[in-house]
Amino acid sequence: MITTLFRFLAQNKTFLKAKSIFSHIRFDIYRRLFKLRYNTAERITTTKSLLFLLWGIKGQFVLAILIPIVLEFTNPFFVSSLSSTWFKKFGVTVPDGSDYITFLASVIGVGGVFIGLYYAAIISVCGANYAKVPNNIRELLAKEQEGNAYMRNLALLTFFSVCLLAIHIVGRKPLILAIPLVLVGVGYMILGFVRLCARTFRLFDPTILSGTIIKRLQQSLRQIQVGGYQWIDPTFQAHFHKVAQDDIDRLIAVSNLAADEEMHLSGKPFANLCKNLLIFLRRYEKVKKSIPTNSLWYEQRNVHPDWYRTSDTETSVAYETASGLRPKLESDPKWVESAILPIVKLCLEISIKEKRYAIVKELLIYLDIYVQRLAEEHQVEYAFSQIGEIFSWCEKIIFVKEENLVAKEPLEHMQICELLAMMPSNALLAYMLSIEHYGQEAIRLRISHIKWKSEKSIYKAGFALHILPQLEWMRPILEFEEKVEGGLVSPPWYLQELITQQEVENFRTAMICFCEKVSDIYKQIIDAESSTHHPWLKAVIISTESEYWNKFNYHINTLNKIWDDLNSDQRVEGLPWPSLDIDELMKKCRQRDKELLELMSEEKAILSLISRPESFPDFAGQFLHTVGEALFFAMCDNEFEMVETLFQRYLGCSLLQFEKLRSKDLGTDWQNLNNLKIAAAPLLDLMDISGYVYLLSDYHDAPLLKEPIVKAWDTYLSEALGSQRLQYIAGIVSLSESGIEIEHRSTLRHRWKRIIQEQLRDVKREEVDYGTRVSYILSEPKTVPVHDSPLVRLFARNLDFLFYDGIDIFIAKYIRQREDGENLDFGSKRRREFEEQIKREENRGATDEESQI
Amino acid sequence: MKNHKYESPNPLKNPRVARHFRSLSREIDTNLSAHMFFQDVHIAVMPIGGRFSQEQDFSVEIQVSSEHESQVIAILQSLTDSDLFGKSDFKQLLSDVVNKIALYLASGGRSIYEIIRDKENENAWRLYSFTDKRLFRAFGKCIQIIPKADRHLWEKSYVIIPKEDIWEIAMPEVLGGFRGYRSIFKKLSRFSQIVPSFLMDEMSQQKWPTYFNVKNYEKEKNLFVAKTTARWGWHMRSSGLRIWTEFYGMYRFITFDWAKACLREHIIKELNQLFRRLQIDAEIVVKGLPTAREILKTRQQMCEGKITFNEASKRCSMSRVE
Repeated sequence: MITTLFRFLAQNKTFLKAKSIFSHIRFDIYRRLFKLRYNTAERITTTKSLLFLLWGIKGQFVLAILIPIVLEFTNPFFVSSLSSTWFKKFGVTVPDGSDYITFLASVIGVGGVFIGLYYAAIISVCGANYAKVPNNIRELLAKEQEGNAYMRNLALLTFFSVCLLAIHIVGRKPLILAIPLVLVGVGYMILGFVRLCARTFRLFDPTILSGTIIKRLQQSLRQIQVGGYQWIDPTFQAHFHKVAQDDIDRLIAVSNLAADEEMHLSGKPFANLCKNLLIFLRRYEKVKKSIPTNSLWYEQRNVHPDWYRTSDTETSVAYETASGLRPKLESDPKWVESAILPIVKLCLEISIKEKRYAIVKELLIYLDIYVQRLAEEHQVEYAFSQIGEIFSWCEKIIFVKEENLVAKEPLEHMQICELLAMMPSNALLAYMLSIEHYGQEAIRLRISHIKWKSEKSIYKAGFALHILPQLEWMRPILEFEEKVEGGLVSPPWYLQELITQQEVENFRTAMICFCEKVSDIYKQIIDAESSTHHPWLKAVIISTESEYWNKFNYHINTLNKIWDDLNSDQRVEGLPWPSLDIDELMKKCRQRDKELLELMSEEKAILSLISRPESFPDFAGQFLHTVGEALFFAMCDNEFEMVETLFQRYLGCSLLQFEKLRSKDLGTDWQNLNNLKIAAAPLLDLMDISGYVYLLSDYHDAPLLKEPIVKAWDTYLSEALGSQRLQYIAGIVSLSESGIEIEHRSTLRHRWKRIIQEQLRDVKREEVDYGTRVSYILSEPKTVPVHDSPLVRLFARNLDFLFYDGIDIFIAKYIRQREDGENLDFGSKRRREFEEQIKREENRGATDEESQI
Repeated sequence: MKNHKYESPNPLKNPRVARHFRSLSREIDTNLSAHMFFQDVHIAVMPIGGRFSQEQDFSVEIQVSSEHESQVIAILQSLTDSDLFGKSDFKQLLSDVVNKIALYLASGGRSIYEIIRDKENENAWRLYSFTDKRLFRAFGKCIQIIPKADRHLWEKSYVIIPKEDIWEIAMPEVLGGFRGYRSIFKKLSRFSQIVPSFLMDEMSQQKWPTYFNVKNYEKEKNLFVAKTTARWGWHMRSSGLRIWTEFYGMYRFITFDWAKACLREHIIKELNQLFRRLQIDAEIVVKGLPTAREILKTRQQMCEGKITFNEASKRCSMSRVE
């Protein structure tokens, strides 16, 4: 009915004119109401500022009050005795007219002087620091809240005194009660003036004014988010955009002032300003999902529509008036960030340049928290682009190109590098925390809370920012549907699917960022470090990147589950669902993992040649350990390429590490002996791995697998000192295993042994009949492994009691096969039993074959 | 296809009523929404020319005794403009008849026919369509008052015929009946399609009033049309794709198919009732076309997400191809 009526009336020019006039009147009323509300809010803020000021002087104030109160208690006695001779003796009487006037006049005089003095102080501050600053900053000084509140109250008191005086002049008697009231007021003002003057000195630092600007920005933000006064009205949105734009301009001006070398403010004051800005930005990112994406709060730019995509009505009008189609406005949702982040960049650059490392670290922590917020709000792409930006800000200054290798790096540079490199990991963790609340069920629940007729509802449902455009598109058409049908026809599963599709799109982008973009960022910074010869910084990044991939691999199952959940219920045909090949992504991640191991083994070689200060982490040791582990698992998985790439360097680095640890002279013999046993650990690891490769090569039936290991050892031992080296190794092994104590890092080697045991459980086994007597003793039937390799059979025979390890294999299969290694003594632990066992196993295999023939 | 001329056994009596009044004919309505709605309502209520994409399933049967067969054919032929159909083309004939009746119903919400008997055979009938304007009912009679301007054409000023000689068919009640349909049509015809006339005037003077918001006007216009035709589920020829979801668009397409199925079933039911009234032992049975009940069931399944939009469309429509 109403629709028909409106449709009917819309044909009438007068109705539309009246509607337009009514809109203007409505806007005028809202404008006035807004002004009223705004003024009230400002007064409350001002009062709060005054209270804050008073709170600061409460001690003096209470004291100043207490004394008159104590006097007041004794007042009745004084009043009754006021005319007694005792008082007259002290001259205390009811004040006469002239005294009263003098009292008030002095109050007025004090008030006037204070007002004059305050503004004189402000003017001197202006003259000294604000003379050459833009007008908008001087305006801030004029609007400074605390001072203004004080001045207003002082003026009130002064005027109050003037009024009292005026009343007395016209013939009224002195008002006794006014005397203590004025006295209290004057007390406030005199004590407060001291504090206010002290504060005026702080105004020499213009960054102090940024607090007021940020407060105003927050006020504007409150107005334009859902629930703010007239938040949906474009006129109000545009107004607050203008206010915020002015405030941001002021902030830029203040930051430029702070960056000015002559001002000497580029240290802590500038850093505090940046910290406050980053805190504001963090809040802003959370609030953004409550702001309509087409709000005029965002900066607007013109976009011209396609003629053939535009509605008939619009094209008809455009054609009739020959005016063409009007451009559509598109929002720039990052205008605040684009304006504020360069301020932080400026501060960061200045601080690094001037070696204010504490400030740099602090700012990087704040930036990291900001980036985490972006990830939490599912703006992962933007978060990673910001990380890339932050890297590039620091890169230019920290990675200064050096001709020679930088053997010693400032510790702060290392810390800065670590903070930078940790950003992707922290972003990933922040995203992981929030993504759990964005599955299908959560979407369904949120949709059920939306009232499509309400403009507010979609912003209050708790959807992330990237869903808003979809919700904003859906709301009017679903409202249309409700109006036409009297209720919603589109079923919840359909709405859920439309929203899930957007969620999947965002998730896909996030996954690409976590796998590909992060690699690019790390690669970029590692390349920069390589070209500028900063091995320590490169080691920090490599180590942190390795940590990132470890975290990512830990979370990949959760991410997979979420992806499956989001793609689980697709009913609408033709809906463009984004595709993501997770296997392909994982392949890329594994590739990067390999590259990282190569980098580690390269870097390890360089770092072994540089002496490490105590305050630096032992990256060389860490990388050697990591490469060793990767090598072992590559052998287990029969990855020839990886083994070939890593082993040569691993051998070299293990021997270097041994030499490095061994060279330390500790004074006493037993200490040196202990040190030697510890230093032998990398050597034993190397021999252990080198031995296992024989076993695994047989197990996988891949003779090629052991080739790189044999080749590397051959090369090492074929040099002039080869035989001596071998003897030396035998001596070290013998010595390190001579004691009764457990060898250093033997737990790790034992772990490898357990892994090998587990792998050998896959070897085919067959039952052996030992007769009834033995079967009676054994609870389970006795089995033996079936394999072509005697070595595999030997190791797999009794998996619960394996007495031999990789070192035994290496000695038997490699060293004893050499002419110069046949008679070497590797100590009591490495006896010839193992070799005999192998021979026995080989013979057993030959006998079996013969019997089969 | 076999077409042959069906020879009428007996000459007809002259119709008594005046078919139309030129003086009362309205100018062709230029309102685009109303015109499109009218076209969409009557087109392909039955498959055009009896041809349907799922031809093998579609059949039309007439259960009639041989003595009444020629009577039924004659009545149906009189409802079309052509006499080229016979028993062998019954599918085509009935499709043409239903579409023709639907055309009359779509233009005014009801259609009225004079039942004319043969001159010689009182048990043979023809139907003669005529305008429902100036037609009144009183004392079991129908009185047609002919406007002055048309009297010279029809050579009479009024016609009185017994109610028994009139066959009237109106829009089915489930679609709002005669009054409901007229109301829709009136509402749609009331407003011009593009912009209000005053705006056209101002635009012709190269003026653009600031108080006129094109976007809002467009939105209100679409809302009005969609709400007015909600019972029929008219899809507004997909022009609303930007103002509703794909689901709701499909919902309206299917609802419109349902409305047309209701119309088809109603026309066939009325024809069968006419045969009974004329004591002709005949019944028309149409098979293989989606029934109104089936369409509603399909729509429900689509709402529950059990079938895809394409599947729903395929099941309900005669014109949309999968």
